[in-house]
Amino acid sequence: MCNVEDQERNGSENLPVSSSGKSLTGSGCVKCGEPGVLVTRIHDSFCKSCFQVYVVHKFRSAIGKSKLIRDGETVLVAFSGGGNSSALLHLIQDGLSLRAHKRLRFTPTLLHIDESCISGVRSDELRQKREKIRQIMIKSGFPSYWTQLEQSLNIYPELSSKSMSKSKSSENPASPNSLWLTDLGQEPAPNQVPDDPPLEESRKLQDLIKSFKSSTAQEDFIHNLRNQLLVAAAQQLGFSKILTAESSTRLAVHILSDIAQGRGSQVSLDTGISDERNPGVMFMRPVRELNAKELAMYNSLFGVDTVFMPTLTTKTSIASSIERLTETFVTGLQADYPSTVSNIVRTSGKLGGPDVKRTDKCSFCQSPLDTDVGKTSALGAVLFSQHMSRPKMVDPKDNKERVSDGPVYSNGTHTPIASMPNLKEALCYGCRLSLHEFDGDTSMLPTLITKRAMWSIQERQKDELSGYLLEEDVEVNGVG
Amino acid sequence: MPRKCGNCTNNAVLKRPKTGDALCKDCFYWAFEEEIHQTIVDAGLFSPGDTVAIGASGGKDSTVLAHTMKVLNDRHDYGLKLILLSVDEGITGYRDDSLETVKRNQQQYDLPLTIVSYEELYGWTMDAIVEQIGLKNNCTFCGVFRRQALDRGAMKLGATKIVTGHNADDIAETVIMNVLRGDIARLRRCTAITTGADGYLPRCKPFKYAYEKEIVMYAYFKQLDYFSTECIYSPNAYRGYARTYIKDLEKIRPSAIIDIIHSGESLSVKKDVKMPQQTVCSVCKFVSSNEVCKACVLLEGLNKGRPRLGIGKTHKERRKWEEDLAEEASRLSLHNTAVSGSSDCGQGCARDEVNGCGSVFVGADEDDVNGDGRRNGCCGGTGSGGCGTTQRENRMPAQKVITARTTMRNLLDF
Repeated sequence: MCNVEDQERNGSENLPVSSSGKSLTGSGCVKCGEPGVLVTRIHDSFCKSCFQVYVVHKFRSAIGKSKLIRDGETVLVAFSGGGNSSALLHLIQDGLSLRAHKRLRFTPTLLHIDESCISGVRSDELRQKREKIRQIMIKSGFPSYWTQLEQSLNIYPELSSKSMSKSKSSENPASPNSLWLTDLGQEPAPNQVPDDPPLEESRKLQDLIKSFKSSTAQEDFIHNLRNQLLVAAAQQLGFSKILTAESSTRLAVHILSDIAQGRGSQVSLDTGISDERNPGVMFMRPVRELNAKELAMYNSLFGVDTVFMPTLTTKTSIASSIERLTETFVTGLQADYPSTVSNIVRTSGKLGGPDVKRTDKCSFCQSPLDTDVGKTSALGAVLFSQHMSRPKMVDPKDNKERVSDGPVYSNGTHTPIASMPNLKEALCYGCRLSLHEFDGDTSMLPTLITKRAMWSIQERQKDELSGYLLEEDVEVNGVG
Repeated sequence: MPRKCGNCTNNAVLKRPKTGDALCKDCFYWAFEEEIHQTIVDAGLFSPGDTVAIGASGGKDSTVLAHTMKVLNDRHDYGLKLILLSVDEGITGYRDDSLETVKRNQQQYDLPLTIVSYEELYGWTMDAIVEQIGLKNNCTFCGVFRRQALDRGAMKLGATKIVTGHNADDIAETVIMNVLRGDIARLRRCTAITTGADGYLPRCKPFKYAYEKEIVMYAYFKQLDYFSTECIYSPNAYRGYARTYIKDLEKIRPSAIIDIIHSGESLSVKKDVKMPQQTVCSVCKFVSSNEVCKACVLLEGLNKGRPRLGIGKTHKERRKWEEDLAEEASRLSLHNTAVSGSSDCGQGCARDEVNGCGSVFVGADEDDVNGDGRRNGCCGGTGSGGCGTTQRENRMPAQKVITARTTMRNLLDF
């Protein structure tokens, strides 16, 4: 896809030519016959207004088809400032404006998670970018909130429904305080650059991320951490839906890298129109039927401001992480076979998800556990291979390693579950893989994970002992 | 200082790609073989008294498979009768050489060997097919024909099971490829350790969880006699992209291969997604997803000088064919235009248009220029939905005895 006008403005003699060899400037819009300004798909050109109709239709039909948003509902929109979420914001603004043919029926609130600490530097450039994002959010006129990825270390998990019914304690344990969400207010205050995240917290998070040995595990960990923070913010602010702006290209990459990281059972949750694995909060992906180029084109044609924030693997080699490799793979294939992205996304559309109402969920990503597999399984085969190639008698060296693997949980409760092997029991296959590459102390991990793991193990123990325990130990290690 | 074997006191000679553990030769052999044994026992692949045909190409996987099967059959008393079965695709400079290896293996392992060839089964060698179709899509022919060739060979030998040397890398690759191609039915099947159970010869993959690297290591240290050249006709296969991706993934995280298999095993398909039903091919009576199996469609295309018939969308190629025939017919003024080429066919096919079928059949011509072309011309058998009935109503009884048919008859008789 390319913008025809770009070429003309440059005064280039070479007119853009489609793959079929015919000149594109001459070809009219496939809808109305007006001169086309851009080419989508293979060689269909669109004029500007028909392209807008096309994009808006894809966005609205995704919302409409799903029938998930009720009239007048308020939703939280995750806004990173990047191309996709900027386009989503613009589409929402446009759909709510008076000139829209049928106005959208929901009310958005924006939330930005500042992830600048991942890069490990604090620079004026980053501060300027932050300020620009803040300005865009305020200018939108929607209520806007700001938080930092560091806060994910402090959030407390909601009690699982099972323990909630037993202990009718605090109504909302997810809120020790609400200081971690900053209301940006309505008035644009030009010189108020958002603060750098608190230094100590940033260090803590950076150390934690660095304790994962590979970029693959780091990216996977950050991804899940971000999602959990979004969920916590939505719960805190009383939202039941979060809109995120993954394009189809992004989703295609996600589908393949999910599969490559053992998250096959989660593909449909991770990439479908909605994701209900987190209790009470649903993720929705309303621009999933538009690809990255269409959204970028939309931004460029309609002058949408975007802010580029570098990620962990920006400007690294293609082999630096599975996600980075997959991105290169998909975009490369897409260039040769233009149906690649839609093929992949369509495949995932036919996949069913696990039952999200199950109680045995991963303590981190909240997906139903996929580790209860039969004897003939990949997991079983790996365990057997390990059994075959490791000594039957534990030698002193190996034993020592195992001890350092599992220190006693640091906050004084002498529960054995914070040791790594126990923790892994409460995680799904994919999260286990990431944690496998973690060589830090388990006390560095976010409370969220360790708390949930603790509960899940207690639940399991309780189930095993049911009938022998007398009703009294409910509150033993409940809320920390 | 040399690293010690994790299992005994010898020096380690290798690091296992699968688990990262260092092992000495003997411990590695033992671990590798016992893991295969474990897979066979856990999945209940064989029962005593089975006659097992080992698909042998002469390559590393099948050579190691033949060796391991023999070792395990003796060690654990499976009570199996093992036979080697090779398929000769007729690829000069590749298969003829690798078959020499299989013949040597036959003597080394003292197992009976049978070779079936494409030429005797289909009347075409791969060399001749590539001459027709070129170096693109040729792997489709080879793959489809081989599947059936193995089945036919095994039946002839009275085998009750077929084992193939597909390893973990192959399966991971297939998972990725089926995602890329959007083939949900195969995506669901491809991680199964045994396929084709009901009524047909079950095929098993005992190496499903064995890394290709470990198989190569095993063959290397055991100094097994195998043939290691890439097929001369395969460089353009789409599979190559998936293969490169898998290899790159393995470099980043060695466990990725087994992780992909785990993903494949834990995928579930939505209940409302329509799955193609497995039936029996109406021509050759072999298992098929369509009325007529892919092998028969491909073969028909070859025999009629339309090699692209079974590649991509069959109905498109059929339409082109019909148009060509129509043109010829009108040029010779034998008939009035037989095929209009427009999309209204007046026989209910308009309904098919809605389903994206786009067939342009005219059923009026009594001479039936389409011959067998009629039988799945409507939607190319790709199951685009909703046109099955129409297709059947439109189908005319095939009247002509065509070459493809005779060939198929001949080969059914064996």
